[in-house]
Amino acid sequence: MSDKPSFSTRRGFVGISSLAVLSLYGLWVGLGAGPNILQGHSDEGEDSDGGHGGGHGGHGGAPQGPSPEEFRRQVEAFVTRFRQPDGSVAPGFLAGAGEASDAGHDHSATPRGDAEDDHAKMGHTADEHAAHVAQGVAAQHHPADADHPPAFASEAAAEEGTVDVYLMAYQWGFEPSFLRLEAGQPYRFRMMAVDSSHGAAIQLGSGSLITRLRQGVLVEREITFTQSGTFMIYCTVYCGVMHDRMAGKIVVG
Amino acid sequence: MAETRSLSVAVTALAPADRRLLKILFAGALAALGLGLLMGLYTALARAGWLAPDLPTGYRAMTLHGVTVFFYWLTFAQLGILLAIAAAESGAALAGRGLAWTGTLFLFLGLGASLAGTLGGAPLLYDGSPEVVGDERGWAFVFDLGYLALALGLLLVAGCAILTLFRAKRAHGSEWSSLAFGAVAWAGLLMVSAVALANAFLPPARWAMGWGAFPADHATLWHVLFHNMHYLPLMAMVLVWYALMPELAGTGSILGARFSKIVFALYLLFVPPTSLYHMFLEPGLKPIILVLGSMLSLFISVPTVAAFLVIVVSLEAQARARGARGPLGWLTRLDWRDPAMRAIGWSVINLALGGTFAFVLIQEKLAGLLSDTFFVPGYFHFLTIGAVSLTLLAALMRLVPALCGRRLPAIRLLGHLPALITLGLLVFGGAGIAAGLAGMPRRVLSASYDGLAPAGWNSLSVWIGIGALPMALGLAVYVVALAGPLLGLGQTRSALPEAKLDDPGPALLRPAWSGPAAVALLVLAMYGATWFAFGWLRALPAVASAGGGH
Ligand code: HEM
Ligand SMILES: [Cu+2]
Repeated sequence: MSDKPSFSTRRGFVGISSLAVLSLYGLWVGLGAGPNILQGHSDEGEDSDGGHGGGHGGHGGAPQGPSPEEFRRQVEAFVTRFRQPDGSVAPGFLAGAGEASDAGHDHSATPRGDAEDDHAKMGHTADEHAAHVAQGVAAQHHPADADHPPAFASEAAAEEGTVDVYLMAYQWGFEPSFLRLEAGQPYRFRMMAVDSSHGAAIQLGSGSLITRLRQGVLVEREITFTQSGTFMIYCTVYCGVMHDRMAGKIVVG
Repeated sequence: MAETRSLSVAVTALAPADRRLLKILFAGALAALGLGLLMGLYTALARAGWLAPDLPTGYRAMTLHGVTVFFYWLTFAQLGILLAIAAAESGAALAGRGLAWTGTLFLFLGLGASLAGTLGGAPLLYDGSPEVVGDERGWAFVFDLGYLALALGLLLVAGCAILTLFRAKRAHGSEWSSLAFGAVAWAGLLMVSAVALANAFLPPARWAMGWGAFPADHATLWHVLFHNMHYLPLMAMVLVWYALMPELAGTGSILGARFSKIVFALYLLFVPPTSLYHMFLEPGLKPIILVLGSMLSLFISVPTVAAFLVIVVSLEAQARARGARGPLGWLTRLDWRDPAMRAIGWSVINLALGGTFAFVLIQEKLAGLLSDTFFVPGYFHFLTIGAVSLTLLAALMRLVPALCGRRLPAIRLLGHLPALITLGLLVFGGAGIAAGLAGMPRRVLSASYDGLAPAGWNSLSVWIGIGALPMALGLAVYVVALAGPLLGLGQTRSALPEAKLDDPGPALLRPAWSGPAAVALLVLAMYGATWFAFGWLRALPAVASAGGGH
């Protein structure tokens, strides 16, 4: 045995080995999910095909959103407008098309064409999708309005065939509690927890899309269902003793 | 002054008043753990459908569980061990003992108020959100007071530890030992947590009494607090391993005190700024915040991995210097008959299991689909019970008999508990993680949603209940066994011999690859889990943006 310390007991080696977990970052980047800071905005597109992410977050800035009362009114208008005989709410059907609600921010529109058509229409937004995906959730959460040209996200998308869906979470339920939506149609979910914080999770079979809703904060998420089915909506933020009774459903046809 | 090597020997030499204080802290720890594990079991059995409490009762049990185990068990146990280390390092009585006694009193008052507030008012769960208080403002105030008293207790007892450690430094010629240095850092972080705790619960307390505005930012303050509070026990775990190494294995670090000090200091550097990933689901976070949050979160692993390596490399090299052979021969040199050694061995395994899944959640895209599901309690019980609690219990199994001068009962039985608990954790955690991937929410008493929920949620909930049984049984046996000596029961025992340490020099020459190999395996497991999770993510039948807030 030599009298030099074994490589394995050298401080430098032990120190470097301690950083091993950091290498996970490489895998994230490899999977297209690591915010690649070196490139600023990584643009090698990722899973915009069958995958997740893409689309637009809200165009934040707390002061801009409606108040819970305003939101409630928007939801009521939405529900009245799209209520079906079976009690469901089917945005896009039987719509008094194009009429904006009192918020002046309502881009509800009848779905135009089929999914492919929509994809084609997304045009420039498709690139944004890719960029968003590549940057990970980070980019999908929109920064405040101040940092952005106003027409950047949702407005543009809305004009391109995205249908608005209003969803209000309250103690203890969702309004509307029964939605009928279409596969392949991009929807912009406009959601708010009006009394205390709630969650709005959509159970999709093998997993769920989870959204946290803080009291009085409008949250927008663009969601496109790629398969038909009946999906449960449920609350994922503890909101009092009836928390686990808070559920609704979405039937995607 | 003679260097203290064995923590359990050192505490036997403490003044009777200090010993009494430590015993009281450990008694508080066991009381909180005992109550908390029953409440955890109750919650799990309710979830499995075997108990059907009315909703307020069920949520009170869940609140009591979170509050007692997470806040009180971990705090009492940590403070007791911290004081033991401080006193052992100074080789004399605690400095500012009055502070510590007052602090301990506040800890008990806090526990009482937390329990009363939970039982009297609306169940708030352990984050005590003012949004769910409803009309029960008075009780919410009592509940908040509990946390405020806990914060004060933490400050005072940790303050006593720091005073004592400063005295130790003077006694040792202005040089801290690596353990003393680590203990100071630990005490410092405990005090940071105490401030975060007060910061989070003072506003709701004032609001509850009508003395202040509604604390709309409670969720954020809670995240900051929670983050600090849940890394601390990991640091405590690592320090306990380090502190017990001499008496359990006859070895200190062979890499030198300075290296260990740097490692301990890294906790101070990395823990406070990495609280972001708890907030990935919060609406309206700026992109740059998410980028930084995800990256910083990876750094949180560094000090724990480093400390693990210091210990394992030292153990292996030292054992080889004493003649151990073969790749794992060094492991067989450790005294596995000692239940404390066993508990620590299993806690390493559980740390790896919990860590693997924790680092799936740290990725912000995955966090967006898994936060708020049962994935979270599914993996973190590996850490809170399997890694942290087993290690703290190992420390108690050394310290309590030493303080009381009595033997632990049923040593062989105690040696089997970690395996039993780990088995329970594998069932509970495995089912919980699977359920979380399927979207099953945490914090619900029943996940059936009148039949709307996927059938899998119900069957996985049953497995969660099944896993909870051995977990609870194992922990309960520990509590009872440790309570014995504290209550003056059991055979008396004579003092232990002081640990003898070998010179680290020859060990440095020996190869010690098990530690790095274990870390490599861990990282591979993390890669695998992340890879799998991304595949699962992409198979979901919907495309969505993240939620942006207005
Ligand atoms: C007997 C052993 C235990 C069992 C059976 C158990 C079981 C449970 C269950 C069923 C939940 C509720 C999960 C949910 O629906 O969200 C839970 C939550 C929790 N447990 Fe445990 N647990 C045990 C021990 C522990 C220990 C020792 C700790 C910490 C040191 C701990 C920390 C927590 C925390 C922090 C929560 C979250 C509470 C909340 O979300 O409000 N548990 N546990
Ligand atoms: Cu809710």
